[in-house]
Formats: sequence, C-alpha cells, structure tokens
Amino acid sequence: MTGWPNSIASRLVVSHALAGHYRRHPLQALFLFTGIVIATVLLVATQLINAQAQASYSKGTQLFEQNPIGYLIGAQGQRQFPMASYVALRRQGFDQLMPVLHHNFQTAQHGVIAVMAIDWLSLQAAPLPSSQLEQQTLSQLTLEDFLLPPYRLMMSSTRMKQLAVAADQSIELANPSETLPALIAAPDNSGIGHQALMDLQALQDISNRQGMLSSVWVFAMSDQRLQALQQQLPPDLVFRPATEPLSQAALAESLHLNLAAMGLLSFVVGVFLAFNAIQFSYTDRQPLLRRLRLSGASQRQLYQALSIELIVFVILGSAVGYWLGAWLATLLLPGLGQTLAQLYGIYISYPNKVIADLPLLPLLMTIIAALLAAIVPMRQVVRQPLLNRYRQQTAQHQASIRDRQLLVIATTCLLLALAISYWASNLWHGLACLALVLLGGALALPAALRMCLQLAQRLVPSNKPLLQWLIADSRWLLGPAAISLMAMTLALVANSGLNTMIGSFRAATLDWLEQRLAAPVYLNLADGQRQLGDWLSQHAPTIEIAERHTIQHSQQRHIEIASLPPMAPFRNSIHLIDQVTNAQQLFAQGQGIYISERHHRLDGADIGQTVWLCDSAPEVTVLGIYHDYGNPRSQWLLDESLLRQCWPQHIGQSTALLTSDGNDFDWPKLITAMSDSGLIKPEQIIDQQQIKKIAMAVFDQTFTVTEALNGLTLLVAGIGIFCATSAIHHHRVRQQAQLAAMGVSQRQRLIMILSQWSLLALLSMSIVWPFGTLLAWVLASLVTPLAFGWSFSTELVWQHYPILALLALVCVVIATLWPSWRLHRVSIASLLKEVDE
Amino acid sequence: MKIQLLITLIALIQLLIACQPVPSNGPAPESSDDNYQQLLAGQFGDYQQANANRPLRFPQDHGAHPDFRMEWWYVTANLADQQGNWYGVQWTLFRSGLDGPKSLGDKRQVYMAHAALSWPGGHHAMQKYARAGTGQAGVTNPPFNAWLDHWQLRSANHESWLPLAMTAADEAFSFDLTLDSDKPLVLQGEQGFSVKNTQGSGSYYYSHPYLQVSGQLNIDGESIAVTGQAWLDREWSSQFLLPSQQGWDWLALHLDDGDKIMVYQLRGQQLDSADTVKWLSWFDAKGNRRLLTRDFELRPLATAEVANRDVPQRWLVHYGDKLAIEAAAKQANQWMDLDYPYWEGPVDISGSHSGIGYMEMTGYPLQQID
Amino acid sequence: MLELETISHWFESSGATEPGQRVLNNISLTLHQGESLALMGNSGSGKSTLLQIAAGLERPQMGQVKLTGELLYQLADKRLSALRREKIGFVFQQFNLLPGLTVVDNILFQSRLSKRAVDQQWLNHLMAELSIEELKHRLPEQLSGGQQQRVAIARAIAHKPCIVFADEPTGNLNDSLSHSVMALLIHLVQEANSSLLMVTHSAAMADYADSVLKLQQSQLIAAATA
Repeated sequence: MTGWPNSIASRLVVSHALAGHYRRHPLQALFLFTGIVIATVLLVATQLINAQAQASYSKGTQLFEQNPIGYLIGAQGQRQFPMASYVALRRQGFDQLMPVLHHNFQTAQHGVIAVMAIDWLSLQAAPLPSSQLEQQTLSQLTLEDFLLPPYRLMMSSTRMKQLAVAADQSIELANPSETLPALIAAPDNSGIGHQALMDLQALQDISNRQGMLSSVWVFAMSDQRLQALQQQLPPDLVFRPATEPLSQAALAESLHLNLAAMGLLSFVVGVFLAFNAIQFSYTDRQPLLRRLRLSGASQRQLYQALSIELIVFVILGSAVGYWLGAWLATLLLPGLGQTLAQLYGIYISYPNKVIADLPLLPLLMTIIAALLAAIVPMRQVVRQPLLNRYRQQTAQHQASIRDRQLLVIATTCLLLALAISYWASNLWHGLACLALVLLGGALALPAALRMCLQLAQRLVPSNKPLLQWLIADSRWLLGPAAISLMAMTLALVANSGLNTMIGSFRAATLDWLEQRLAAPVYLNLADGQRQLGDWLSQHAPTIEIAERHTIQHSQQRHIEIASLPPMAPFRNSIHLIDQVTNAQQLFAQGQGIYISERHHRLDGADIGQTVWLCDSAPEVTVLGIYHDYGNPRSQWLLDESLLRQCWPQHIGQSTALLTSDGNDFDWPKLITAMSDSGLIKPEQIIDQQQIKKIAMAVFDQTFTVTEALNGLTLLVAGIGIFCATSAIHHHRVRQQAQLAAMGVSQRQRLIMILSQWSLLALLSMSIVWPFGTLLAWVLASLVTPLAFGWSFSTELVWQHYPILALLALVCVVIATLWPSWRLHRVSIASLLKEVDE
Repeated sequence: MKIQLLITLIALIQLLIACQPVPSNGPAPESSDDNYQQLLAGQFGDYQQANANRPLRFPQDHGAHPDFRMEWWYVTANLADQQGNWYGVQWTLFRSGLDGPKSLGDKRQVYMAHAALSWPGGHHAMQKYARAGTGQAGVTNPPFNAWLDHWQLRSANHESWLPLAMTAADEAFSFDLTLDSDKPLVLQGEQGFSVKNTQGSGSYYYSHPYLQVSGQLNIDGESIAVTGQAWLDREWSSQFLLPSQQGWDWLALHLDDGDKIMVYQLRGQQLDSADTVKWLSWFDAKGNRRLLTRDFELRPLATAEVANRDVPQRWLVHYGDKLAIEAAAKQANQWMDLDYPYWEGPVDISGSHSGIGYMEMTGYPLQQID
Repeated sequence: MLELETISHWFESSGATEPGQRVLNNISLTLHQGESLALMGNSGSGKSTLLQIAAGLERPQMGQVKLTGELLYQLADKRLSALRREKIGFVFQQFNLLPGLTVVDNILFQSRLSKRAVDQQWLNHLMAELSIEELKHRLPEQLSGGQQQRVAIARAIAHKPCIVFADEPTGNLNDSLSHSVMALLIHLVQEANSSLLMVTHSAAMADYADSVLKLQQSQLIAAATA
C-alpha cells in the first residue's frame, strides 16, 4: 500500500468522494440540514424575544427615549384625578411633568386596545425619527392630525401587524357606529409596544373623560426640585418612584422561562433529527468508507473529512436557522407583549425593524451538539471491519442493543425525576424533573415499540402473510425510524402534558372564580359610590354595596393588599388551604390577615407569622392561606375594617351589589332603573358572566404563545419523520419490489406502507399516554407551584387521549404520504441487475 | 432635531399652505430648521382677515383675539445694573391657531413662549409650549393676565392695565420685572392696521415703547437688581407674510431724547423685489407720531457668522437729513437656539442720534457647505 | 402458454428506432406448459430486457405478451397482481427473501397471498428436496448465499405457478453449488408441471433447460448446444 501524501489535495479527494454520496441521495443532505435548522430556529427565536423583553425592562418605562423617574398618582387609589392638580403644579414652575391618561377600548373584532394619551407639547426633547422612511411617514402628518378631531392613533407597526390592521384604518369599537381614530405607524424610537398612543385632549374627548388624568409622569429633576415638588403636591396626589427594572423582570421571570424551555425543547428535537441524519449518512456510506480505507486513506483523514463536512452543514444550517429564527421572533414578539401587558401590566417596546442583535449561544450549542452527536457514529463507521458479510444482520442486532441501552437510560432518567420530585425546592428543580420525564419517555419509546411489535407478531395468525410482513417490516423500520419517532413522542408528550395541565388549571381557575364571584353585579365606578348609596337606599333598600380596595404595600413593593367586604357571601367565598384555629372569626374581627398561596410558596410566608401592615397595625398575624389563581403578585387579604384602620381615606376600585338577605332579586330591572336615572352608564355594569369571560380570556391568552410553540414542535417532528422516511427510501425499494413480484398490488402496498407508520404512531401511545399524564402531573403539582405559586389537581379528561392518537396518526400520515407514494410506485425491474455494494 | 419640532414644524408649515401637501408649492424648505417665517405666511383657514376697518379699543384689545390665527405679546427690555453693566431681556407669548373649524374653540389654540436673558458675553434662551383651555396657558382680560406655566405678564392691580409684572424662569435663570409708564401706547400703521405686503394684507399692531422697568434678574444663581426701558409689541393677524417673503428685520429703538423709532423690513426672495416691504415709524417723547414712511434707506453694514448663518450686525437707517443712524448689535451671539430660531438682542445707536434698542432678524439661511 | 408476439423494443432515451438500432427486434416466442427455456447472450444483449417484457415488468414498444391467454399489458394493476400471485413465480439473482420473516413464512408467502390452502405434503417435499428443513425457523439474514437461493426456489414453486421466471438464479453461487441448485430447480419445476423461462450467461447452466435460445443482435437464434 503506497502511503498517501498528507496534502490538501488528498484530503480534498477524500472529501469529494464522501460528498458524492449526497449527490445521489440529496434527501439525506436535506435531512441533516433540516435537523440543524430546526435545532436553531426556535432556540434563536425565543432567545431573541426574551432578550428584547429584557432590554425593555432594563431601559425601564420610556416614551421617545425619555424615562420618568416617577409618577404622580391618586393618593387614595383613585384611578383618575382632575387635570387642575397638574396645571396648578405647572403654574408653580414644575415643568418636568407630562400628563397621561390611560383608557382601554373594547373593540368589535380586535379585542381590547389599550391606549395611552399624552400632551404632545409637554414631551421633553425627543429625538428625530431615525430613518428616511419614518421621516416621510411623519411628514405626511400635521399637528392638527393629532390634536384636532378626528384625531390620529399612533401604534407600533408590530402591533398593527398583530391586529392585522394597516395605517389609515379606523378600528371599530364594540359600540356600533363608533370607531377609533385613523391609525398611523409609530417611529422606531417611540418605545411604544402593546399600547397605542394619542393626544391627551383627543383621548379625553373620545373616551368622555374630559379634564381627567390617570397619572403624571415626572422626568429627571434635581433632588431639591423633587423634594419641593413633593411638598407642593395637592392632597389628592402622591409621588411614586418609577419601578426598578429588576422587579419587572422578576415578575415576568416565569413567562420567560417557559419560552426558553420551549426553545430548548425544539433544540433537542432538532438535535435528535440531526443525529438521525448523521447516523444514516454514515451508515449508508459504510461501503464507500471501506473502499476508501482499502485504497489507502487513513482513519485520521476520514475523521477529518467527515468533521469538516459536518461543520459545513452546521454553519449553513445555523445561518438559515438564525435567519428564520429572527423572522419568527418578529412574528411572536407582539404576542409576548400582549401577554405581558394583560398578565402583569408590563409594557415592553417593539422595535420596528427585524431584531438585529444576534445571540451567539445557539450557534455554540448547535456546534457542540452536532459534534457530540456525530462522535459515536463516526467512530463506528470509520473503524468498521473491512469485511462485509454479516452487515444486514449486524445492523438489526445493533439496533436492538441500542434500544435496550436507551431503555436503561430512560429508566435512570425516571428514577432521577422521581428523586427530584421529592426534594424539589425551586423552579430549576421542577424544570429538571420535567426534562427528565420528557427525555425518559422519548428514550423508552423504541424498546416499548419493539415489545409491542413482538407481542403483535405472536398474535398474528399465519394465514395473513401481509399482516405478518407488515409487523416484521415495522420491526425493521424501528432501526432507522426510532429517532424521528422519539422526536415525535417528545412533541406529543409535551403537547399532552401541557394540554392536560392547562385543562386542569383552567378547570381549577373557573371553579375558583365561581366561588369568589360572590356578588351578581359589579360596577366599574371611578367614584360616585356615595351617590349610588343614596339612590339605592331610596329605591332598593335591600341592596347592599360592597367595595373592594387594592393597595400596594408601601415597603414590600411586590405585595398587593386587598380588602374583603365584611359580608357573609364574601367571607364564605374564601376557602382556606391552611389556617389557624378560629381563623375566620379572627379575620372578621380584623385581627389578622390571609395570605395567598403564592406568598406562602414563593416568599416563604406561613400561618402564625406576624407582619407589618401599617403604622397603626404593626403586628398582624397571618391566619390562613388561600388560592389566588392568575395573580402574578403575592397578595394579603384583609377584612375591610382592618383596611380602614390603616387607610381610612382610601377609595375602592371596584363596587359590587348584592342583596343583604341573599334572596333572589330582579337585577335586570334594577340595572335598567339605575341607568335610566343617569346614575351609571350601561358600559359600567359588569355581570358575573362577563367577568368570567374576561378572566378566562386573559387565562387563555397566557398560553397562546406556548400553544403556538407547541404546534411548531409537532410540525418539526413531522418534518423529521418525513426526512427519515425519505432517507431510507432506497433501502425499502427492494422489499417493495419483492412484494410486487409476488403479486401484491400497488394499492395493497400503499395501504400497507401507510398502515405501518400508522401502527407505529398508534403504538407510540403506549408511551405518550402515560408519560403525557405524568408530565401533566409534574407541571401541575411541581412546576406551576414553584413557578407561580399556584397549585391545583391534575384533571384527566378521557377525550384527550384518543385525540392525541389521532394527532399522532395525522402527523405521521401527512409526513409519510409523499415518500409512501414514491415507494408504492416502485418497479419490480429494479430487482434485476442489482449489484451488491 | 426633535420630533416635536418636526411635528409642530411641519404642522405649522402645513397651516400656512393650508391643506396643501408638504411644501412642494412653497419655497423649498432649506436644510435649516427655521422656516419660521413660513409660520406666518399663507392661507388663514377658518380665521378672520385683518383689515383697515376695525378700530382698536382698549383695554379690550390687550387681551386675546382667537378669531385671528396668530398673535403675540412681545416685550424687549434694555436694562443695566448699579455698576452700569448692560442686560437685555425678552419675554414673548405666542398664540397660534391650528387649522381647524371655529367651533373647536380653545382646542385649536396652541401657546408658545420664548424668554431670553442677555448680558455681556452671555445669552440664555428658553421656550415653553402649552395648549389653551386647560388653564396651563392663556390670556385673560380684564384684568390683563398672560401666562404659560409660571411665566407671566400681568397687570399688577385690578384698576389699570399698568403697571405690569413680568416673570420667566427655568432651573438656573429667571427674571422678575415691573413695567410701568405714564405715557400712552401708540398705534402702528394706519390706526393700528399695519400693511405687510403688496396684496394689502397685514396685521393689527400697537406698541407701548415708553415702559420703565425695574426688578431682579437671576443669572446662574446670581441675583442682580436692574432698571431700564422696555418696549411692548402687540400684534395679531391671520396672514402676516406671503410665501415669497423670506423673513424680516425689526428694530425697536429708544433714542436718548425720549423719541421712539420702530423699523421693520419684510424681505422678499430678492432684496430689491416687489415683495420687500419696509416701514419706519417715529414717535416723539409724548406719544405722538412724528413720521410714518416707506421711503428711507435701510442697509446692513456688517455681518457676522452666527449659528452657521450670515447675519447682519450693523444697520444703517437713513431718512433724508432727519435721521442717519447706525444700529449696532452689542454682541453677535444673540442666537435664540430654540425650535424656531432667530437672532434677537440689544443694540447701540450712534450717528445723528444716540440711544439703545433691540433688534430681531429672521429668515437668514444656513450657509451651504462649500 | 406463454406467447411473445413480434416483440420489438428500444429505450426512449437512446432515440433509436431503426430496426438495426433496437434492443429487441421482432421477436416471437412460445413456451408451452411444462417446458423450460434458457435465454443466453452477452452482457448488454438485452436478454434481461426480454425477460422483463415476458414477465410483465416492462411494456414493449411493439408487440404483445400473452400468458395463459391473457394479454399481460392490457391488464390493470389489480388483475396483473392477481395473476402474479397465482400463476407466476420469480427467482432473482439475489434479494429474494423478505428479511423479517422466517424461512417457512417466506416460502408460504405467495400461497397465503392467493388464499390457497397450504399443501403441506408439497411443502415438506420441497423442503426435503432442497435440504432446508432444519432452516425452517431461521431468518434469511442467518442463511448463507446458497441456502438463500434454495429457499428462494422453494418460495417460487410452493404455490405451483404456471410459469417460473428466473434471472441468473445461480449467478452469485460457486460452481458446485450452481450445479446442484440448478438441477434442483429444473427437477422441481418439472414436478410442479410449471414452465421455466430463465436467463443465464453460463452455457453449462443453460444446458439444464429443454431448449436454449441466444439473443444476438436483437434477434433470437438457436444456440449451439453442447
């Protein structure tokens, strides 16, 4: 054997020879490429949108790149106050102020549009639009457009895309024949995201809140000035410093973690696919590699050539993955913004152009993962024995061994998960447990399928040759198809777990809502409770008014203090998870507070502890713990008497009406009477059903992003199966030809091929169903309590399971349709003149 | 440039060429940001046109005239401290009507205020904006009170218009002055109607040039007692300029013998074009008009580069053998670097008469970079 | 029973339509029940093509093929598949057996397909003759080449087809094996009263058949027999 010169030329020759394989089997190259792309796309997308949110948090609330240092808000918790207070401050020389009004509009087809209005003329120096295009857009506007009717509504173009509206369009309101002003796209530096922006007087006009403000933004001023300002404040206003960027991030941490987890899931699925593809292409090239070795190429040269080839794929795949990921991120960002706004009241800004900041981590992860995935197959194929006799047997045998090994690893994962679930104390433990259950399920799949097929084979009567063949071939299929089936299982288990968890959560929340909505009618009154009280005592004396107050704890910012009206229906609506003796009695006497489950789980508070409430109630006992679903903040519940002790002047934010004796009452009649008398407007009345609807809508909103990503992972798995099927096409041609030669018709063969995959899909349920349920349990009982402080029982709905099977079936059939079609048209003639490689 | 600038700027450009698209018809907007004169030219929307048939009445006409598009209360003061150092003060409140129907009332009115302090070697300009109707800015009369936030020009007592208290302030600069006089105010133009162009449109215009000032200045923390003279200009109209008029030069001069001279020139594209209109208005020390003429010579003698523009610093005003004076800027750097920038500062008068005064020049284009 | 009538064939890609350029030109052939025929020719002579056409695997450009009176190329796939199931047996050079099934399941595959009752006697006889009884429950990947071919033969005849098509049935085997396998094939085909049409490049193997034809310059000629 002549030695090869270690030159670039020889390396190129080797590489060229190896690469030639892809020319004949381009689908395998596509398969590998797709795996890398998939691994990167969602990872990049979720990283980008999380990063955008984080960037927003660290910049803090801002408008046109100006950050307020604080806000003037109603001192008694009023949601609005007259503008005169603000004007008085300006006339005293405090001009670093900007008046703001917030209003939510209920639209006909676009849900709720949150609008913020400012006095344009009070904007402190704001920079020019940054691009020529923006300049052009703005130059078509005039000040009149914003300040004078019919006004304009400025919206970020990302939000407009989310709502599927265009500039110059007017969104219709729920009240027919009313519309919002025509839209205009906001410039890039506006910093508005989910909210729309308008002129102050314009909003006051169209929302019928003339002369009212929600708050006043305070911009940077010297400490002396700020002190002077605070001293000059009228009694109805109070200064609240701007929220620390950190606290916003902390509030939304769970949401971002969820997104990151989704990205990771997709990454794992993609790596699975890539690994699968790598294995294929190496296995298929075994003869080629053998020949190269026989011709004198060294093992080292082969390693090098294969590694270089892999890196090329990784770089190309990552490039496409990054590009797609960035595009996807632009698509998903408004969804995140909406969720943050509705759930936490956090508003992030949307950049107008595609997110330009590229994270490097996904690329690194992909390179490392690909290299790790390739090591074992590469070794196997480079160091293979040069004789070929028992190749077919070996492959099957190896597949069997592999599946058994995977089963061992799967069992280890599950045992670990079990251990963690006992000792889990923070969110990371919960997520680790989750990951182990997912992984365990996926890795156990091939062995489970093998066992099922073995069982099936024994059950098939011998006079059904096609069925015999079907099952036997399915066993063979497990070898190459296992990994893509594992990926599909991952996606389905995640899907199943999530759906079950969401279903259980939804049921628990609905239940809880039913309990808590003690009153039949709720009113959205800004103030004017006194008038209402007078009117009611005259016209409907059996009706009582209940008020609800919400205050932020002055020292511990993340705690929300809420009051409970001192009436039986309300008191009975609180079900305690844990309590001290006589809790209800003590509570009613204002001798203690209840805390929400979240406060107990995440902040470490417990019954029996004492807390500082206010100066006149410095030591208050915690009497009980209650469920508080959907609230991202920790909450203390006080009897109204205790609240009044601390905040005697506070004005309630929401008002409810109920009968004092609990009997039935003609509510519609009363409501009509109230609105006829001009006391309230129809849109201020909210009935129980509406509240439930709104609450559940917000609930569903929380999980839209997750569900979208869920669908994507399933799509990804389907792609994997398609690739796998296409890649093994030429392996299966021969058997198909044999079958055809023996007289199996085309139609029969097509049905069999599709049935094979369907069989595998259905048999996967043996893993998907139990693991999906297990995952749901982990999510409901472990992760959610650790992440949000909410716990609820897992509710299994039987319809869920057949739907999963159907989903798997559909996924698999669609993915294998075209490859199966190709296969069933194969000609018998291909059996003739075949040359052994 | 600020977005606010751009919006309001474009807005106001729009409103002059009312309802037409952005200045493709008007003079090409230069790369400069002071298309300020365009603020005042153009069509007048749902506003009244000034004409010669409306006599001015007082004290009513001290207040605002919302039926007319633009209006200002403009005070310039030449002051000195006990050591004899000179100071200049400017206080202006502009009212600008947006292009909307009359039924909108206060909603279509926007107020803008400029204030400036000048001293040897220094100049500080301030600006503010507000909408009408919220109480943040406005003009009431009687008793007369013009304000925007905490800047004020108001009658000190309820019985008479004078004396006036005038204040403005920001973080480091402020002034608090009292303006009083025993002389009457004077009507400019013909009985208060001042023609501005060959088409006959113009403005209602009166002045009070005989104001005596005393009070306090606060320059960067230092408090200074000052006295001096001040000139109040009141003008309102719906169309000041033609689109072809580029800008103007204005001089308000206190002669040492007590006479007062007001010179203004509206410049067309070419200085010798028909659109260039100039007037000279001369009042004696008692408030009587001595002269109103267009037939005089007004020529810049020297320019200086200020804020990248070639701005005249010395003017010759020559009327036959009665008047041959030079008005020279006390210092070149009197650039009002605001959203609507212009040059405004105190001048010294020499020649056939001596005295002091104030000068304002607008519409000088940015230098082209060679 | 198998009739080829004026078969002419060329490949579209070659564009050759002149008689002199065709692969097969005007070939007719009749094979009666129980007859065996060997086709010989150099590589590239088109013998495999002729086999493909005769077996219903490739439609000839001109001419027709009849099997037990049915025109093969007029049949729909369903009917053609049925025909294959019942009346045809194939022995290929390799890749005859379905990997996942045992030997006996492989052998009986086609019979079970056509839903015929299994002729246990015939099956035992086949396996005894071919010496593959002990291999009954083995999987194909556990067999040697010679063993695989013997099972293939069993499979091809188990359902007693009308005709067996064989393409280089001993092409992968060494000399002594070839002879024994060939002898068995002919013997069993005769026992089953089937016809045999086989393609081979070896004159020695061809001799086992009743008659031998040679394909030369797109024409069939009688070959000189040893």
